[in-house]
Amino acid sequence: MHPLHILSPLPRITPEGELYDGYALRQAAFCKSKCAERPCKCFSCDSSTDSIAFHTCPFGFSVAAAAIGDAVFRINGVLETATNSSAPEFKKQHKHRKVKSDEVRNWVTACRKAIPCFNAQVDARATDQISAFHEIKSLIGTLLVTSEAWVSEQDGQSFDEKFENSPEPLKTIHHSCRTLESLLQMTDIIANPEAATFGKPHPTSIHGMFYMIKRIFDSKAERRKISIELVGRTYRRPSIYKSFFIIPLVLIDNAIKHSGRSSTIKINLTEWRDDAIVVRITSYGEVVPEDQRTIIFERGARGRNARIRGSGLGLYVAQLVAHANHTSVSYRALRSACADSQGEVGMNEFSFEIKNLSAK
Amino acid sequence: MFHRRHKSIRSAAPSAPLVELIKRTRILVIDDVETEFPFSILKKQGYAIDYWADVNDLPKLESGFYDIIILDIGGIGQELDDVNEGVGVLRHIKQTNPSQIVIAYSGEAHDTHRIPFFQLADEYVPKPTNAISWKETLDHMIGSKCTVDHYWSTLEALLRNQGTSARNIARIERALVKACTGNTFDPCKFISKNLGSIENAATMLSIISKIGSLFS
Repeated sequence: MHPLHILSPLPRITPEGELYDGYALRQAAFCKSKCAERPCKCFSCDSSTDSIAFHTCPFGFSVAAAAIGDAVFRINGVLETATNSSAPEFKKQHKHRKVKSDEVRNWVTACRKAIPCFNAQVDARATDQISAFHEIKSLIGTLLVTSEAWVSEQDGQSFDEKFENSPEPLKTIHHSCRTLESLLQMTDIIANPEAATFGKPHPTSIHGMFYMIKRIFDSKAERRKISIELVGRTYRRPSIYKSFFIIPLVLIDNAIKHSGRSSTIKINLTEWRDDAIVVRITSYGEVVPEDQRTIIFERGARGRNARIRGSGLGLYVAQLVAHANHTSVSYRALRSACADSQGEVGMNEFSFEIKNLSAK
Repeated sequence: MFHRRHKSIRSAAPSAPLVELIKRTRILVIDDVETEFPFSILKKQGYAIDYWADVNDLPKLESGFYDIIILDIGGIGQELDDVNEGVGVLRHIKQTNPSQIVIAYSGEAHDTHRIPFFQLADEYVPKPTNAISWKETLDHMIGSKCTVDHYWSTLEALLRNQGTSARNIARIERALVKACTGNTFDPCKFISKNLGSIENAATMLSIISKIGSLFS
């Protein structure tokens, strides 16, 4: 549970529709038992500003939505006196649920101050814990260098050719090392988001980057009879941060995990206006339910349909890296075809733009 | 009235193919663990790379002998700064020779206390990193940083900070173009003739020598 759910005096609803009582005011009986839809869980706010958005739900209650830290918090089942336009009869019935907008504002402001303190504590713990992996990182580094040296002794002109001519066990070891290398870089960014912008933006071959990532995942996909297709070609070399590769890495890894067997994952590269490139990664499988599409990029978000083990950090890190590179990852479900026993099935599309940072 | 336009040092700089630049660039790796860096693959590809397990020779680091220094944080430089280790070494290098190109090479990017290290360096490479990525980074640094442009920009900034007028900087630039494109170039003579008594003489000498070497 998020610490703010414990510290709030007012009732709240999570994006998943879970209701929490406040320590001063409990959830309205109506919200708990009579409102099945709980539309208030989707009310939005501008997460880029410090503002609080006040809404009124179809049943007449006020909902205050505010971005606090990485997440959006929604106070529900109250009557905000200044903006609520519910019928007087309704107001009378629920008069003990009245709150002033200033009370909400004060709580949100206090939380916005508290969150960085919580995060600093969490980061300090994470730093301590990740520091304990120093030896492991070092050993992985040695393994990586050794496997590369071994590959480079095989027949062939380029490293790619030498790799293709390597015995299968060596290929597997090398792939595992490359995957571990990427995962370690992800853990650095989880513990210290600023790590996404370390170094300087470099001109990078986008096609080369996707080709390399595709190769890393080919064998994993093959095990599930899934094929990965790289469609479109670009010769542009926009300047991006080193961390950028984490975005396609997470998205393709997720696509493999959530795709139906024997399906195809398509990575589509399209040159866009100026010197941008648009990337679309589509896969066929269970789609993200509509009410959860706004929260999938939040830290620790796990969809209620998620059956595959995970930390809920992948998309969060991908979005973090995207923001560091002045872009963002978006999701949409295409051609939602039918519902099976597990959920709605269709085409999942994650897309993002690659911008040339040196042009800024 | 016509003014004769003088060739800038940037436009006078000769261009050499990357393979040639790779051979010429002196790279030093300072890391207490030798096995994490792909020395053999990169050396086979023509990179001139030395290895130190610790800061063995501080004056050599300060002098700009190496074009690129790949610097670890932990377990090195304790003699210079026993608290900050590699961070202290980086600060010292950048103070004594701001034109020195340093790549922060560390597995400690998760540590928020180390942020200044990564910001002060010219580039960051996480640990571990594969040989192909290393090659891309080094090629990029050699092509974009080990250049007359980079060294002249640093020298220009140093001169400006010392109060040298724009007119005098332009005069020094003209003299430098003439000296570098001439038959022989002696950085010490150049300094005594064109800069007189200056602060940071060792730093200036190191930068001017680098510029001269890029013309040879």
